[in-house]
Amino acid sequence: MAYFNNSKELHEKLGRNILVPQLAEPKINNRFIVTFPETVNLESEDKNFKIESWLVNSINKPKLTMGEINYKETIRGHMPRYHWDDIEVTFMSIIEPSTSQYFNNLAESLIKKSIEGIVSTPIPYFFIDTLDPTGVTIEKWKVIVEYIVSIDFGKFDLADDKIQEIKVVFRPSKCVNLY
Amino acid sequence: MKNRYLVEFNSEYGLQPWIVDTISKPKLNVTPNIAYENRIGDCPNKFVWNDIELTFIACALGDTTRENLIEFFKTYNHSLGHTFSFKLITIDPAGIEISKWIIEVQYTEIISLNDNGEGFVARFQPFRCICIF
Repeated sequence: MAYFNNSKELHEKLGRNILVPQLAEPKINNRFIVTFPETVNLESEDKNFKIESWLVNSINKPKLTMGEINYKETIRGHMPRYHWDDIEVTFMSIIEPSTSQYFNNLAESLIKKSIEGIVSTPIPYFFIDTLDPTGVTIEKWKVIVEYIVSIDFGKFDLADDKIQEIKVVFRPSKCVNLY
Repeated sequence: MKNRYLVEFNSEYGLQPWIVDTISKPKLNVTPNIAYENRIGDCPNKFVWNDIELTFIACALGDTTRENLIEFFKTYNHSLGHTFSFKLITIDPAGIEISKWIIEVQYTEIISLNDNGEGFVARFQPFRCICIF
């Protein structure tokens, strides 16, 4: 089998300008899978509910941002902190098992804990995998969740025939690229 | 689907379940008084339900419904003492209920009360939102 250093060389060998797979193939935005822990610690009947990977419609990848510059601190030689931005995950809302009911139970649990002054993280971590065309994981991020910022159950509109979605915003404490 | 829903008020108000044009579903949020600056002391303070905004269909409102709606808002607008609840129901193509929320409202505010096509726009402040199924 002949090996080519780049696609240009391959084009020259074939003698025609056709679309060929490049050796350094770019990753595609819609080839991803998000894996959540098997069980989520909820004080409800839905203890064994698993957030299926295929429920995720879209997700932001981790983004590192510098905090606002506090000039008083800068004079003293302190640099502003870097932090991981919030990650928004959009879930499809399905009938059975009810995604809305699960996230509502999650919300009730968060409200109850926050009244008690406890920062609870029912979903402590999740993985974002990038897949190649054959379904093999080629990139993996582990997102360690500090807490959940918001749960948005969407909107009803008579003029909108799209499927319902639930948006959950996670604040990560750490994002690790495993490979 | 986002357009298959009913909003059920208590029958004593005389409001049909199909008169709501748009309505936002419940949204849980952390209270904004978190120290975001450089994320020092960044910890969630309290989770609260965001306001629910709804628009009533202006063209479909008959005189009776409009009167009922005005009576409803006369009772509840800017009234902290009166609480009420309504149901937010998602239906499948056959009209069977597939999801039901009970929203308990503690404060109501009319944003716009325009009869010239825009209809009534109101904001409900829920204190509890329960998804039954």
